[in-house]
Amino acid sequence: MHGPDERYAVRGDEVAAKSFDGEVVVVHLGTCTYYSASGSGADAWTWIEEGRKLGDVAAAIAERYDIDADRARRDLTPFVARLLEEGLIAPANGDGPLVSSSPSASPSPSIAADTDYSPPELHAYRDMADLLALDPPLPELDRPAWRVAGDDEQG
Amino acid sequence: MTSRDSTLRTQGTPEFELLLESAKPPIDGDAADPFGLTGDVDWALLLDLAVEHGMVPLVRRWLEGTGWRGVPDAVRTWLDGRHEENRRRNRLLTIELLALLDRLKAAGIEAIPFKGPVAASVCYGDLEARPFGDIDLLVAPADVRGAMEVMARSGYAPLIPLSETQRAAFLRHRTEYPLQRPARGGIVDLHWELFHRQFCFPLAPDRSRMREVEIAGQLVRTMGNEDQLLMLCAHATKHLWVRLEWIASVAWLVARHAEIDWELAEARAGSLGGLRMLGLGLALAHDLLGSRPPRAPALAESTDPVIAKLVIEVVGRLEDRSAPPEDWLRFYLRARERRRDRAAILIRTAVIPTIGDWRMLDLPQPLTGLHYALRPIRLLGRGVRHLRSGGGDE
Repeated sequence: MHGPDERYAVRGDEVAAKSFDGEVVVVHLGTCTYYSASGSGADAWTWIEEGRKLGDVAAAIAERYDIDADRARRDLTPFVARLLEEGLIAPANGDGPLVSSSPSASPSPSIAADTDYSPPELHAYRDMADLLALDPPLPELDRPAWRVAGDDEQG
Repeated sequence: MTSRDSTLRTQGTPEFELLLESAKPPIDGDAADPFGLTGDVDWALLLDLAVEHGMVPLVRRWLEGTGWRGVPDAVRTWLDGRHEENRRRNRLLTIELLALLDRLKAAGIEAIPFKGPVAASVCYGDLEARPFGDIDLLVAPADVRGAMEVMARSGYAPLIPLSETQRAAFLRHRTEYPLQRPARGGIVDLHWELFHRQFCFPLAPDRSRMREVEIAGQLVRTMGNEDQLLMLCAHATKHLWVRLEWIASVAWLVARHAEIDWELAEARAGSLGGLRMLGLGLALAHDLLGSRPPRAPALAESTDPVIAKLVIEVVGRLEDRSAPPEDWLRFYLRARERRRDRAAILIRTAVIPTIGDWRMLDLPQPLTGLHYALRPIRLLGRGVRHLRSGGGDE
């Protein structure tokens, strides 16, 4: 579905992303949706954003997490499909930024010590407009949450 | 300036004491006994107060630092949930801010962010230490229209629906304009002055003291620490110091930035008629949170009796939620040391049209000056209605 030579570009008109302590946060400004990826997902996003070919991204993930290259490719495919589906990236037109194809040339964006592998995942939070509009309510103060939960240790 | 524990005594409810401990910048050897503080806490009241005072992140951080000793599981779970929401909200707004700064810069417009992510980073060194709900940007008056065009191209629309004529007059006479994307992301308050004109505090960033702060790996240019401090004190005064977090911001800024040029801060405040506001902020930070006293001569030796009275009143309202709210105009007048500023506040409050005035009457362009004449009449009418109805707030 997504060939190893394909490159993608972040839809910069609508999408902005930053890395916070190893977590990549992507915001679709048009829909006010908040996406979060960490571990291999944060790595994949960063390398895709750099303009790497998908094959190189998969190879970099395989090397970084010491996993089989086929598995990295298989896991990357649905992640990229999801990024496309959410409108966060689009196929690059071929004249985007080119980087070295060496997987180890670019430092990994995720926390160096955390090399336990799990497939790249994108978490979406679509409640941000509500979160920004309202300060979320307190737990019911007449019936505090810990009493509702049957926890009697409160003072 | 009063010493930390000599004259100011809080009522000492366990909830307020815990709030105060959470707000204090870390000082070696001055840690409170966590079990002593959490033993008798009414947790529902504490959470309520923490929300009201913008203190949820700091309270959670402090309790976490104590190892959650004596904290009910459900309270911890609730605080963790709020922490996660706060983190997402702050990160989204930070990303939106940085994207907007890039676009404005590409259009040749320098925008100075303040409050929000900048205050969190400068004061606490931590984006998640304070909740924020919007984005504040300052541009030069000459850049307002250009900035609004950039924002319109980025999908932002004005939050206050005004006709073209109203908008032109609004831009001439007001100092900020709120915009937002249709998807209801962060509200961006585009300022061309830091404070509304009725407040009579024309603080503008000292360009020679601008500094950079790193936010999410990006260097952002903002006002120097002295101006940050003045801005924080004036902003909190504008809102009558009703939130403890504003005092915490001052205390943390002072604690984390030993390089603050106190003589400069004092001179800037004095030249703008904001010495009492600065003194009040520093006194509150010192008396409530143990912030070290400033080394500027006038502030350190301040004997301004009004500051001491204002401190007691502010603390009283912070502690007692049933206390009647302070009259904002009275507070503004007492928080200013110069007679001419007090007179200007009174005059401007009477004549400068508010948003309600602009929207009530859409005058044609040549007649927009009439809003100034109509403002006192509206105020008078409001006062008469107020008296006829036997009082009550409007």
